[in-house]
Amino acid sequence: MRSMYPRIRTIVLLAALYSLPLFTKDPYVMHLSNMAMIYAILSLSLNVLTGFTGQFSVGHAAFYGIGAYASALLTTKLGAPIWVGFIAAGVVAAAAGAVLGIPSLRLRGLYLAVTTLGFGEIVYQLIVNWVSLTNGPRGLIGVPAPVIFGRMLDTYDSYYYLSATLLVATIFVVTRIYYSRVGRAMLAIRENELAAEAMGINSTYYKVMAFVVAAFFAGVAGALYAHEIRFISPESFVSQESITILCMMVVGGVGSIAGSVLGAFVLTFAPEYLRAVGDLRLVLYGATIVLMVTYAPHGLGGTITSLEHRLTHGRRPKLKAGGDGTTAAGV
Amino acid sequence: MEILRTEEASIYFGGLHAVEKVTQSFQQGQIFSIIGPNGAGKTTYFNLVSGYYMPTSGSVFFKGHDVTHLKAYERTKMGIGRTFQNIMLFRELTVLDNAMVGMHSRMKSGIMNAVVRPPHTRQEEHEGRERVREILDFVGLSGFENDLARNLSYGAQKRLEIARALCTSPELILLDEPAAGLTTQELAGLIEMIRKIRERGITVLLVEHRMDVVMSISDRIMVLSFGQKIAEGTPDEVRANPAVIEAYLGKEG
Amino acid sequence: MLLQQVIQGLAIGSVYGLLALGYVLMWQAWGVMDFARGDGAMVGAFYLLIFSQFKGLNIVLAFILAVGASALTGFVVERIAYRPILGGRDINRLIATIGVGMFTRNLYRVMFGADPFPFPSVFGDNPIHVGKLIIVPQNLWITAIGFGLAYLLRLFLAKSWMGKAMRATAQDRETAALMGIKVKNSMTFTFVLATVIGGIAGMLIAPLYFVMADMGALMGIKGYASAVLGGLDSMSGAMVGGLILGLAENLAGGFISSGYQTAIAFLIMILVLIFRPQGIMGRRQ
Repeated sequence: MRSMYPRIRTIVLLAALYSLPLFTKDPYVMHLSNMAMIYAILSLSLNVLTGFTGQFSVGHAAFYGIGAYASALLTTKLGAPIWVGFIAAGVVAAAAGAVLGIPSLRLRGLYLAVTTLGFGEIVYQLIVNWVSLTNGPRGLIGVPAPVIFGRMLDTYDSYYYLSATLLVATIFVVTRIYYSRVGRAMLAIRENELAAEAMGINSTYYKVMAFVVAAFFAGVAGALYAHEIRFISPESFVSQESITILCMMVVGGVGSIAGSVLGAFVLTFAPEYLRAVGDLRLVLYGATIVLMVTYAPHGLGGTITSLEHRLTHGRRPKLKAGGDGTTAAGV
Repeated sequence: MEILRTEEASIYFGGLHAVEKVTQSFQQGQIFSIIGPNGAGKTTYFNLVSGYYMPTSGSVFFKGHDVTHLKAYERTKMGIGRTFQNIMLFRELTVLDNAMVGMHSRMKSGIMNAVVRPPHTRQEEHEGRERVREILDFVGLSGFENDLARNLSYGAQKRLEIARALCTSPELILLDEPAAGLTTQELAGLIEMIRKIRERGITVLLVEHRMDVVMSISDRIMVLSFGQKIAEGTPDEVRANPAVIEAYLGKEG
Repeated sequence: MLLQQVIQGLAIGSVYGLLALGYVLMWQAWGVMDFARGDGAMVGAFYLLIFSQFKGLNIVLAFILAVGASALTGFVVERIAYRPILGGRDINRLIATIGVGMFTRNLYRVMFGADPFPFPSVFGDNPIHVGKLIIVPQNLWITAIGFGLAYLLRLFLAKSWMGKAMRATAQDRETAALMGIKVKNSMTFTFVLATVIGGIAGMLIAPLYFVMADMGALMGIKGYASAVLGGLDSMSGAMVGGLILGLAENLAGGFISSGYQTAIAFLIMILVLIFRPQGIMGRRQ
């Protein structure tokens, strides 16, 4: 007998997600929620690369930035419809992902990480210096708001539904991949690449695919960001941003889908509510991250899974994805 | 009928001649053991056959095709399955998923099907699971499907390695020291299992240190010493071969 | 022009090299990529600033005190943040170092503000004219000190008992323990040493740039890139990697475009890694 619990949980969570704007339309909260959902998509996409496939990346903001600029430029300079911008954002970022995926075939662990870091820096400097295209450090203004069913999503609370829908779509796709032949191949590569090859898995193919998928969703997140904030500048895509995304994924739990979302929400909202302590908030933020990874090594996702399992089954769970994302990578 | 042949195959690591000009033919349906003292090049020879090392010179033929330059995963698709000497399971995955990964090359669904999950993908997944359950049952791992591989006992982990290799639907399976570390009781089960694998029509290539195991189940044996083939024949012939006694059996009694 | 860029590049490169040495030490002894290295350098620079500028001490004395303070800081950080997670998963340990970096950077921002502090040139501002060439003496000093330190470190690791213990620990913790080496002490010592070397790198770069809380992030990235470029298992590789990065950056900045300085340095690094995945001096695995 299959438990009804997962289905009920999904419905409750979806209802909660979509009904939030009914309770508050406070622009500040709505904007933060949008940002949290954008980060959740980013963190999920990084999870495909690092959590599933075990490839370490510290350059995810590059794909995010490429997506944001692709959509913003298409819609402002060429007047393309916004849905075209969103798709182009994903596709252009995915192409960049394929390019970056190629060195990944020869490099692993820290060597791959530094390559992704370098890639992030290169993309950032391109955005800053290619003034004729990107308008450089001054950024792009006047990025249009999307219009859906005749309604312009130019407020944070109306935009919320678009963010939520794209987040749900990302969760759906990533989950489907996870529980498929493709997902198993990725997990196998993370766990042991040599053994994966012995199972007939072309690790080259799946490693590049992981880069492409991760970059695609990061690109879409970029477009989502550009049309929400309506102004983009290079500062939003610095290396520090890549590290923020990485922290969200790890604090949420490497390889955990729910964890990625949770990590993004917690690390987006926490610093804002820590404003009460003034300048010390980022000091506390740093300390919290150290404490989290030291004392909750499976992340928020892992902690919640064990609690949930104890509630529904009364014993400790067997985590499918409690795995160390990077043991094989040697980070 | 010949299933596998290596011709003048050599592997050199710098100055070390790990495998030196080994020519050997393997017949379909046999249990064929490769023995030799430590460092004789047995595992290297396995890696040569399964595609983990490219030969410095010489060739490998599988079912009449030259596979010398094919990668490991391509050889798996062609029908060469293997286990590893030092267990290499997907430790954080469940027993079921470990075996399902073995089904990889026998399934087709790509990423689009993974997302859309059309009927034929569901069907494929379902059939894959059925077959995996049958194989897990065959190696005696029924009931452990949802355990993490790393939580299995040592003996069960070794059986999962074999199950995983069987899931790739091999025509030739390479077992690298399957008996190492097993209890006497488990050993009897292993011998039984290897015989049953052969009954399924799978040719078995075995590297093994336990002479009792080798002598009791092998149809033929090849002896390597310092990378060179020094003898080949039935267990009785090998046992009586003076060169073998000198290189190997002589030392261990 | 070319020679001037080279001299500048050598100076910056030797600082990157020192930072990279810190990464190599940490990688070998702790098996972790330490993203807080750059912030350690920032702390070192601040110590020198405090002792020499705020307290007005003689520069040599200030330097000695700053080194001592860096060592002490290293010891405390190791106990509080690095030791407790030693048995943790690799990616968690890495994130912990990111957390330590964030903590440190923002703590200094709270204490000293975000504005940069100018640091006067210690070695005199008068450039030396050699023909058409203008040499700023501090560039020569920085290069000399950088390489001198790297050489001393090499001697220390090769000759001293502590150095041998550290190398043994780096190669194989268990065997080292069997040989009677106090592995944990050896690891602590390595951490302190890495912090001090990084701190000195920060002090050396202080007169070239400004001292500020945010300086660590970029220094960390450059040191990390140098270490990987040279090969994470090689001490000489660290210096070579640093030099290549420093030279590439300055030549690119001088001849191509200063805007793309970092991008070009990283591009060179990625190209090198594609052809030599283990780094220039690293051993193939």
